[in-house]
Amino acid sequence: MAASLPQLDVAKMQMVQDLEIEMMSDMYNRMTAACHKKCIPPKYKDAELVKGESVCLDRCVAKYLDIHERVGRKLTQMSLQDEEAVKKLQGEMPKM
Amino acid sequence: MDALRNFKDFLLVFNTMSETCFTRCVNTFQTRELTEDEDRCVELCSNKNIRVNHKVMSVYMEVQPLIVQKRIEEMEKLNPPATENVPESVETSNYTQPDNITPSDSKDETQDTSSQPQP
Repeated sequence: MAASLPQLDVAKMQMVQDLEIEMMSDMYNRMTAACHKKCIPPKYKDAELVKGESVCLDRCVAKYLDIHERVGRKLTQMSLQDEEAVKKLQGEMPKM
Repeated sequence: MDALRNFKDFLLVFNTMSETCFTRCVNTFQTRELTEDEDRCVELCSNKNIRVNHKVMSVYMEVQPLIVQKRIEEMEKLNPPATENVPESVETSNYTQPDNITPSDSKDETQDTSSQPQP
């Protein structure tokens, strides 16, 4: 995803990496919250993880990461399309 | 710096979209794989959310300047411009550079003209 940005110097590259790590951490938090809401019922009968809850969490995380990857692919595909459209417009502008 | 902010916004949209589509589309946990229905739902969800983002952005860019303009006009009414000798048509053009006009400047000029009550 960072490859889509223009040439950056070392300092900015570092900022981009920090940003990616921060966003990854944000994604992790959202995933935890979402799977907690989906898999753990609000009434707490037992402190231990029941097998059903454990399996649910396992699959929940797998599905979330799968969806995250698909959405990412779609967004980068869309932004590339937008970039090409903008470049086309800019290419046509000087002719006018 | 601008590109970095755009990148950050993009990543935030990305994360929010993943969370929303997951929460709304995935309701079964029988397998680690996504079912066909969930797959289709996620596809539709992401497309729709992208369009929502574009629409919101376009309307925002259209409406926000109008609101800012209204705010400026209200502020102008509350703090009348310092140059009272200048005709009104020129006064409005002064406010294209609001940074040059400071409250202290306006008070200094009003002291010269008449004994107006200071706020």
